[in-house]
Amino acid sequence: MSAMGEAVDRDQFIANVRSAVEAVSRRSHELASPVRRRDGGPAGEDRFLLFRDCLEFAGGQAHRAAGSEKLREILGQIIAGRNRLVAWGEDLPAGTRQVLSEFGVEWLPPLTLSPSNAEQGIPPSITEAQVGITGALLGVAETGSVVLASRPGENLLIASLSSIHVVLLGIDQLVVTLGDAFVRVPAMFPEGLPGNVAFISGPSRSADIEQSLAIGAHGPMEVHVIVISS
Amino acid sequence: MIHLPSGQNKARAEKVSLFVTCLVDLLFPEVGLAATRVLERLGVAVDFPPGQTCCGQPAYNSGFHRDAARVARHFIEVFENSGAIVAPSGSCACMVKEYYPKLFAGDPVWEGKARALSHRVFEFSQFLVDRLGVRDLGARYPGKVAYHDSCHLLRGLGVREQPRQLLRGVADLELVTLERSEQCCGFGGSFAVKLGSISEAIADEKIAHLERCGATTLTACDMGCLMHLRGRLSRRNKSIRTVHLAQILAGSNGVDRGETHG
Amino acid sequence: MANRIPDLLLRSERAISDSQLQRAIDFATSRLRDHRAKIMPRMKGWEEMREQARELRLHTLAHLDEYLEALERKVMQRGGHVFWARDAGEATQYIIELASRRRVRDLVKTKSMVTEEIGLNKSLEQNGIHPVETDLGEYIVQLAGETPSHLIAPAFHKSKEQVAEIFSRHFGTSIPAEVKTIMGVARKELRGKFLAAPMGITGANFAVAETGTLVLVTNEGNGRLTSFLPPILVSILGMEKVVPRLADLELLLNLLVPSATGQRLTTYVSLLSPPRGPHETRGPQEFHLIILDNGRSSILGGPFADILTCLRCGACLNVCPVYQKIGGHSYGATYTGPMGAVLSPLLSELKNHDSLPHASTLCGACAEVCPVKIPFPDLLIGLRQSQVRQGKAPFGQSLVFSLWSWLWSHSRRYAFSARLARAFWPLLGNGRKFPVVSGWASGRDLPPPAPRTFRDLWHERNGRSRG
Repeated sequence: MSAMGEAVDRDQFIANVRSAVEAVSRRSHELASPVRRRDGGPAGEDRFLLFRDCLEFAGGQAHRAAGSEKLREILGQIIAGRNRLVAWGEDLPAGTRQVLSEFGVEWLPPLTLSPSNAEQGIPPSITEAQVGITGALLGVAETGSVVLASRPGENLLIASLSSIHVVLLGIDQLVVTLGDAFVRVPAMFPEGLPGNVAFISGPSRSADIEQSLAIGAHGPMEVHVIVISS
Repeated sequence: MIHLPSGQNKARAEKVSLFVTCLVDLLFPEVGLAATRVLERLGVAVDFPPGQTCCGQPAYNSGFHRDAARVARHFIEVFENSGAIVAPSGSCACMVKEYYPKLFAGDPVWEGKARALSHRVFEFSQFLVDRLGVRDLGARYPGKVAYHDSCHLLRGLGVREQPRQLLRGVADLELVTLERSEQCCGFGGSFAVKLGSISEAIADEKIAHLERCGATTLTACDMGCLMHLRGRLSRRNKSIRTVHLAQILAGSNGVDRGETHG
Repeated sequence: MANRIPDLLLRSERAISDSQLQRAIDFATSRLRDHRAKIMPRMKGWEEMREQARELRLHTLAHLDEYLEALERKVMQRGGHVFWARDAGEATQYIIELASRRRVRDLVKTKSMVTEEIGLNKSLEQNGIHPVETDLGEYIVQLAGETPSHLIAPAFHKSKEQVAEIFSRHFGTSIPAEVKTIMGVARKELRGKFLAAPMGITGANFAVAETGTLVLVTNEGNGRLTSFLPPILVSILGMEKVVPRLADLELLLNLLVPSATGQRLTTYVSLLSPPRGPHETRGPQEFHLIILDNGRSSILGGPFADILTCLRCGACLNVCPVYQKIGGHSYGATYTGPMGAVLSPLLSELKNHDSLPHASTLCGACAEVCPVKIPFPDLLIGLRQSQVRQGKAPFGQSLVFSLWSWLWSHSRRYAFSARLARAFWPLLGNGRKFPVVSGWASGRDLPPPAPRTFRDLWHERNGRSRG
């Protein structure tokens, strides 16, 4: 597998493909503009209701907190009886950290960014967390999704490994369609997409045994999205 | 009381050439007679071009396109000067309408002829409802009847409601809902011979659905499906009858050999 | 090796007589059909989307060389490695050598049909490398020593009792036949594997040329753990899965997911642009993308190129009357159902899958549900035609069709053949010994020729003059 051999193989591979596609007229199929289903869609509270409906369809739960008091109440219900809480504070909507701290959340410390370093172990506070709390880049109403990116990456670990994932999202972070998200997300990262952008729609599930739906295959068993107005 | 079928005025001006199909000609002539009787009762002038044989579908589906084209060219010659062509088979009508243009694609002579023919071909129930606007033929057929959607009729020609509308117009007939009526019966032409045991298993599922809906008669617009299901039903000693839609519409009496045949 | 009609028939008959399997197939396919039917009212403009996706996929194939090179550039810009594998051997060899160089013994893997296609797990095992399947269905299939039986429901052929037995044997402890318990055991076991594995292997549902991004569509969450936790990530991409732009994903996901599972979107859709960037603390530090040809370039540009637009949703399997009776394993190939009946014989020149294009009634239900409008009946007929052209059709069959077309392309010869059949009918044991239709008569009664044909009756009725 010398570098030289690879280059020859690569060129031959591409040449094979090229000669195959040149056999047909390339012009026969023009590239249309990306199809985006945009009809404006609902705004404000109606957008939240669409989001809630779609997240519930996916097995998750959406909550609306129009103020700190309501947020406290919702968090109280979700967290009740669970004590290992971990949160990543960087992407949370403004003013929510204070409320979370009242619940005894353990804040993950900011990590030193050193990609050349040896692998940093995953802290037990994440692997053993009952409830993991993060923000998100966006919420997608028509699919009931939240979008998280590996910037820096601890947020995604929480989203992947905790038993209950709670996402706090500002209402202005809700978009209507997947297409909106595919425009908004790259715009947030002009220097290129992060290594991992995850669309998460409800709890982890599997229907692999007798087609019976079971929740919590490898990821969280509950997903709560609390939509906040600032 | 004389029950005048609706759409008769429209029908009086119509002339059709009957493509009876090889299966009906050789094995089930009573179906052809029933179709003729229904059309004539509506005042349609029916013509039977005697040169006709088969549409060529068995060879086409099996990949023997040279042989299919040989038979198809004969078909085109026989029907070239006909007006509307009516076939009591969704499958054969679909072959002429949808597959002839593909079979002769690129052929300077025959592609054009195939396309010209394509617009004039109708399946029997499609012709009655879409072209003549008929719903009620004044027929009578006592019993619980299930309708099976033949694949080429449903997915090839897009005919779903027409046969049902005609059945709803039949006196004393109770149209029962056949679960998964759109699922293939397992015939598939040469498939039924090549992979016979799979074909039978698929037929058995259709039979199970039939028994569940309590039908005493199964009807469809294709003798291919009906021959297959009839053969399986009789091998398994089931008493459900199989009749072509045309036989029901022609009235329960006077069907020359009836459904006892086979 | 060859997969001939009698082999296919034998496996199918075994499947048909297995009542547990029949119940399982029926249950799984009807569930998946129902789920799909239920989501459809939410999917506005479905037909238009199918048309647009078909055009997009055909455009991509027509420019596949350009998009693949663009993808390569993007992946390399980010510091990933790209390996072009012309066949299964090159792909597996690359992974084995990489694993040996990095001293990898155990690795985690997501469900991927392309790795099934190249027989990756077997090759790895032979070289002392142990891949663990992390999709629950694939994990079950792996522990049972079998192969997946459905594109998206790989273990549907196992009852929960059978799964419990497999797990009990593997873990050496009695595990009850409860889905939740079984899943809990798998979750715990596999969590440890994810955290410890030095290497993860994934397939890819799509790869975006514009950004060098791979797309993984999963429900369990194993895909994102496999692609995020181990320091080395290897992804294998069937080369036809490339997509021009990130924005095209909306259309493709909106078609793929509802068709596959009836969800609006799967629980997890991961957009992977590895390796990890300078602002990232997590994610693989080393990334290898293997772009696989393995027969695809010989399909491209030919009459069957449409099959390369397939999104692997599995909807065609669930509506196929043949698949519903014989299940996945009877096909004897990695890809099954209508899409497999087309793709398998085209992909593998060595293993002869010539029987598969015949495993269809041409009912067209597959084409009707296909999210990218693949014209399955036309492709299946085309494959049969190319077998005839290559002289692969049985001699007897060719002879019968030649004779038949000679007789039936002429009205008098046709009439003669009808008389002949009637005369010889009793001699043929009323059809049971008729060689062409013996496959028919074993399980169905054959109607005898009518004593008088329709044309006889017509002439009698109307007189010859009118005819």
